[in-house]
Amino acid sequence: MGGLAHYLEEEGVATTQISLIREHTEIIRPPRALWVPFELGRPLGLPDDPALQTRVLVAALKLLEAEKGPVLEDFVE
Amino acid sequence: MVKLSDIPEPKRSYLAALECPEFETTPWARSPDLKDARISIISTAGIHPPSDPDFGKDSADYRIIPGGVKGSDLVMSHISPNFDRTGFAQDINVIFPIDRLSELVEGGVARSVGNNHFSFMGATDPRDMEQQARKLAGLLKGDSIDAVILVPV
Repeated sequence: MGGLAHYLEEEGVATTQISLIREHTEIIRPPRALWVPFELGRPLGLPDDPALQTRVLVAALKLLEAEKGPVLEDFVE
Repeated sequence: MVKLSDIPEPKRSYLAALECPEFETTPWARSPDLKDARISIISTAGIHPPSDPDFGKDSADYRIIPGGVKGSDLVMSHISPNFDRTGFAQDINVIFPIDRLSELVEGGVARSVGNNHFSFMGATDPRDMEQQARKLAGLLKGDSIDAVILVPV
């Protein structure tokens, strides 16, 4: 996932991403990433919980407004 | 979940041993503020319309997901057995937040949603996806996309 971010950003497309395995994201160092404490297969949290999904999505998208990076934040409820 | 130390064996050792690409620098493309941004989603869950070919082992290409698609119209052909599939089966937004993104646009949080979204098959080495990713960047710019959100599975 983070590798795609590098290639897209080099082509001029801004990216933000969700990270499921923090250790991997720390190595790849994409420009903007939000680590979430959810199990693999559930990057937005819980099914049929639109409020939680929205909080995760907004937190990841808000990283687009960071002034500089790389940014790796933790999602905190 | 999910730090590697929290994942039970043997999955923990498998994931810890995965070789991650390393980059000397981190590129930085600017995005407008979120309220002014046109956004598309890129998933690595291997999802696609059922009429498209399935992803296979080491597939490095992507599938186009039309913006107006219903989540229930998508299938998943990701080859990995290492993640939960019950959430996806119940609610596509748990891996592909198409409804949540549309709601943010309706609420003025973001400006607009791209005409298309995209999916890769995340078990492929990302270095093998480089050519396809750079090609995809051209499509995104052609749709005036300001930024993408990358969602793993």
